[in-house]
Amino acid sequence: MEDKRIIELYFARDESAILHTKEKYGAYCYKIAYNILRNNEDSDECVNDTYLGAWNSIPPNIPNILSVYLAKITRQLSISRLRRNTAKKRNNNNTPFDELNDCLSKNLNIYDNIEAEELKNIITAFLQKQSASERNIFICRYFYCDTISEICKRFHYSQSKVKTTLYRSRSKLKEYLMKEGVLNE
Amino acid sequence: MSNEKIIDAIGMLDDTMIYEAKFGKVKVLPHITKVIAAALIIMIISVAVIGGFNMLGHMKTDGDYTNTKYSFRNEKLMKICNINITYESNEPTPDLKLTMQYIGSEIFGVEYSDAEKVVFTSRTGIFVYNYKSDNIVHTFDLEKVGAPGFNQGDDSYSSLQVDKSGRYAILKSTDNSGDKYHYINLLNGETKDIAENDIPEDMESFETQEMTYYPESDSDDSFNYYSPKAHTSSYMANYHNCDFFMRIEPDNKGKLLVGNMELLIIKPDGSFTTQRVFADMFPKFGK
Repeated sequence: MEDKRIIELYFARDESAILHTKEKYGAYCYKIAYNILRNNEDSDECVNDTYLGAWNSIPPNIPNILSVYLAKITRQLSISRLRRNTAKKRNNNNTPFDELNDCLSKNLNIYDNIEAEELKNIITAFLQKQSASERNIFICRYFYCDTISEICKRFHYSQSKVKTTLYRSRSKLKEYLMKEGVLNE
Repeated sequence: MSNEKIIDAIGMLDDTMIYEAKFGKVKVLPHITKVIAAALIIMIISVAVIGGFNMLGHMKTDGDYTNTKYSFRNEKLMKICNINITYESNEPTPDLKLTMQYIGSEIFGVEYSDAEKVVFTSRTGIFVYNYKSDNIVHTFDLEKVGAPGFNQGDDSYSSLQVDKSGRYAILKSTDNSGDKYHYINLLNGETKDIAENDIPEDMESFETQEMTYYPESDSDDSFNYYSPKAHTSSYMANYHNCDFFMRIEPDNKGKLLVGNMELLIIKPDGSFTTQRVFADMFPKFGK
């Protein structure tokens, strides 16, 4: 079913909207959750919560791109779950997010008063300055949390190429954040 | 997580940007754009008939890539090559930057390039392409000297290092019988086996070349092995704006779209050409 029709079902408060969402995007959302959590049960719960989140937020929201809308919900729920698990010391897995520590350092942190929206705009501007391939690899890794192997397959790159590209992107992001005055010492 | 703000901010990025990273360009077009697109498609189809004949008739296709509005024939070639070449649209065209998504599993890497030539490798072959003659002037088959393929495995592999002047290269092959070295003259194509002691002193050691530019930490346990080769190609791909190449992809049945393996070679001035190479150097995609 087309996304437009699924969204119409949400607006009509037709519960089959969830069924169609599950059919079309269930596996896709699960993949995002699993890439973050590395746990089947937690991932299933996050995906189910995603459907609930979509049900509760559409309307009033009108997704621009339904797949991305769902991905954002899944990602945020999964990250929240990951943070809870980490706080309870139930998470021993490395995630792609750990790599983003490269953007900070012992003496450099993001100012407390920087709002998420402002930081988003800065990172958006940064990504727009990158080449399409660098930007896409960065997003696949740190938004979708794809594994290196998946990114290699997607872009037909060697593993070392992907890793090196990500490393350089992180380094450049750090420089950019410093330049923008977002990092403090 | 000390990087929580960054993680959250990435989660808020623009929908289109996120979508395109995973699925390519957004296909949804505004109504007026659809009308324009339809007109363009009709025009492109018309040109395609002529362009298609042109390409079939001339396996070797040259094109000027320095215009931001490149011709359909160029675009067609891009499509056949299954590559993406991006350019900074804000850059003045003479300073066009080409970013090649160039490395396939079979073409292994660009090892060296200067104003005259490019040295690049497949899994089992080494090629020297000369801009002036617009030809691959030398090939070197690893299997003929009993050298394992590049990136073959942790215990058996080959690595290549080109000297800074581009005059020669040393192929180091490693297997359970130990290390062997081959001297390759890139100017005349001559090769000879040499002992480790015979490696010219001005050549950097293979050991110092390894790992130089790799990330310090790596969370993905499945990729802890890096070869000097992969290092070199990534380095070249990232630090040179142009003069890289791409193989033409086979179709989904393994048949090459234009009959044989061809490379797209981007020249320093932004123009490009295709170049036939030898299919038997690429076992997986051979005839």
